Amino acid sequence: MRRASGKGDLMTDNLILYKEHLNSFLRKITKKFELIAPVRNTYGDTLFEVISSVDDVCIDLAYRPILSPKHFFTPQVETLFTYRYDKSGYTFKDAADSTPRVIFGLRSCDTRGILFYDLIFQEGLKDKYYLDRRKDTILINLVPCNI
Amino acid sequence: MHSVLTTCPFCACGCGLYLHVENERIVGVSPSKKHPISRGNLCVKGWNSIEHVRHAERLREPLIRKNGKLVKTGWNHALKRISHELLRIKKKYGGESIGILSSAKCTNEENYLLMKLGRAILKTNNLDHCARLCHSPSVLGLTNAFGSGAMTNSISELAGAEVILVTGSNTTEQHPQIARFIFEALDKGAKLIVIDPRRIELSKFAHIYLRPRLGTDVIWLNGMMKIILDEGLVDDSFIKMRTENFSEFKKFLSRSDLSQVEAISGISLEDLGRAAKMYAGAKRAIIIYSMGITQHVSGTDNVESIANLAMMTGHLEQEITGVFPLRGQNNVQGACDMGALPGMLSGYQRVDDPAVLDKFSRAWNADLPSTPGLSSVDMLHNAGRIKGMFIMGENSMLSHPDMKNVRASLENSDFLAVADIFLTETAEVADVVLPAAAFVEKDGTVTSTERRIQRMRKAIPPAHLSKPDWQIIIELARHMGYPMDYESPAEVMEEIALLTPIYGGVYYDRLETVQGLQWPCSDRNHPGTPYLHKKSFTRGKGLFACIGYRPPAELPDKEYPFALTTGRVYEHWHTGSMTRRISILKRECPEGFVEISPEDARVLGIINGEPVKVISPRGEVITRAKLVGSLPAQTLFMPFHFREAPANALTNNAVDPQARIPELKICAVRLEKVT
Repeated sequence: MRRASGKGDLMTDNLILYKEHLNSFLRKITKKFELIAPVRNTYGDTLFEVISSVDDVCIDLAYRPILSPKHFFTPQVETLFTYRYDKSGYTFKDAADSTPRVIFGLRSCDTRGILFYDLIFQEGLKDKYYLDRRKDTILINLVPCNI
Repeated sequence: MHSVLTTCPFCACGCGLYLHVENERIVGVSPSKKHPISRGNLCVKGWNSIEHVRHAERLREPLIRKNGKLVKTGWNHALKRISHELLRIKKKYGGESIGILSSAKCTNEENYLLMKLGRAILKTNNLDHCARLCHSPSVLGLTNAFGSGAMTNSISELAGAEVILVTGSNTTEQHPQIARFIFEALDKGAKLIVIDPRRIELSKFAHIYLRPRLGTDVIWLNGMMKIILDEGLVDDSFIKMRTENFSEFKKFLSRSDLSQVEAISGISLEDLGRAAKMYAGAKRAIIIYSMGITQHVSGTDNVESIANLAMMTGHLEQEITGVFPLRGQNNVQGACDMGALPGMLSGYQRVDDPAVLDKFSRAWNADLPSTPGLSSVDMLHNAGRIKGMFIMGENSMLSHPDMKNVRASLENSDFLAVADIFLTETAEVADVVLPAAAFVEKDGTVTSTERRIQRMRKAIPPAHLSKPDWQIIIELARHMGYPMDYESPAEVMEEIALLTPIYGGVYYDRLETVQGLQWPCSDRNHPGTPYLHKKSFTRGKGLFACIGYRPPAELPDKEYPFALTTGRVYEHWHTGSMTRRISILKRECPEGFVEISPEDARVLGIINGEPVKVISPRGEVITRAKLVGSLPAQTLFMPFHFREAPANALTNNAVDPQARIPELKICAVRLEKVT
């Protein structure tokens, strides 16, 4: 990653990630975070997937993935808590998901959708499970770059 | 969460869909965007194709009948019992006393293995499946005319057609994804002709809609062809180069009387003439048909007449030009391809051909029966004829006509074993019931209506103690003393490829694409065949057949004044064993009904939603009346999905003498108010 400078740069404080450095950037992410990005599978379809090895998958930023990444925040099935029962009664244990994540390659509409989710799950009755995931997730958005 | 690509388990469109799996549970379904048919879409059944898989009523363990009741037992005991009983019956009465029903819901490999078990071990050709009830006339009629009984072209070609003639196919409801290609063609300026006794949804978009009376297809088809002949719209060079027997056919048409057409079919000659000119005048024209054409005593005649029409106008042997019989089940094409038919081994190789028999005998190391066997109708409508039966994944009790007769045949057999995912109406009367794995719980291939061979992939383990049908058959064969050593369905496919020329190049490694392969695919380097009969017909020259009109077996009379026709609805699938266990589909269409025109309802004093009794010479059913504007006078429609209002308690088991398909599309009934 380099600090942007010189001709054509719109905002001099921005950092520009050059295309040839994308994989090494993502590889670095996988060391500290669970990386989720759009991957083109062998059938030609693109889906958001958890990536363990950046070099073994085809990251596809050209086609819109089949599903939005919302299920990483609101999975269809999740463990809310676990419990034990013994002589002293029930002992409950919170099963919050606190995996630090980076979701790379979202479309602006995905990000906008997630911002609406934030409104829904933060106001009134706060959804702890959603907010925990949201707090631990960094979103890296794609924007049209033909400006 | 991970995603597994598989093929939809319902109709023969063959949509590619992803199963989203979390902790061995399927939590969602999404269509593949790159799949040539689904293209990012599914119908309501496809979107909801998974709920039944973990339904509480799934069969959990094998069941065996003791003192009249089905009780739990172990796999070994159940398989031993089936093996013992079927071998005992074979020894006592001969292989011809055993009947086997394979399944268009099971994979190609499972159909092939069951066909092998039946022929190599039990020495019976009494092998059939539900194609008997849907497209057996297509297999026969199109083979007679063209040499191949399958859809001539690919589904996506529809989008480029100039004219599409749809008859006897409620495409938007029964093949919704194919209907999307019709709409795409219409957007590009194509013309649509719909010919159907019911004013189906598609007729709203038709440039010409014609309403023939039920069971008069040969009449209007011959009329249309005579008009084409008289107007000089025949394709002379195609007929001369590619076909035979046209001169006889021409003489036959010249003798036919057009004035009869209007009187019998109810279609005016003027309207028929407009449709004839529109179809014959186009360069790229396609005929779509389905069970409205085939489920008649004249089913094969109807199909051969459609073949005549396509041949005389030269609408074959090219891209975007052909005959599209839309198959019903997701693997009904494959079950036929695999030889789950009484007269054919895999790849439509005849059992009475000594060279074919010799090839299979040597490969299987077994003597094989050489006389074609009985169709499912002949097995299930002759109480006492079949002593022992094995039924895999079919619910004949609800799907066959004249339910009482079927029940009598099944209950009168010495022994009946059924493998299924639920305790269906057929399984309820079995002596042994085996719990089978659902489509998401096993690997295999299925073949769609456009001859596209695609993978089904295992996404989760089988529920409870159920097993995939291919494993059940292998274990059953071992119990019968005939080892079947296959480690996987891929290994079964290798044997299929070896023995089946049209599948000669089909190997699992080649199916790891979203397109699969379309047969014929003769060897590893063959790319598959998007459209058939290129340069010449499979049989050499296309054969014109002179077909006379044969009226339906049962017409309304004073006692039974209404004609009843049967079919399906958008939300449900066949006997409802899967879709009626899916909450959204159940919500959308919770119960059976009988459709009636408002005029007829007014005469009988019936209001919408009122319970009524439908009575035929074979039985009676109480259901609710639904007033619709889509039906002609004196005609009723009932879907056959509902066990509590089974349309097939009423239908007639008169069959087409050639294809043995029952006449499910017309029988005589009367309607009474329930007081």
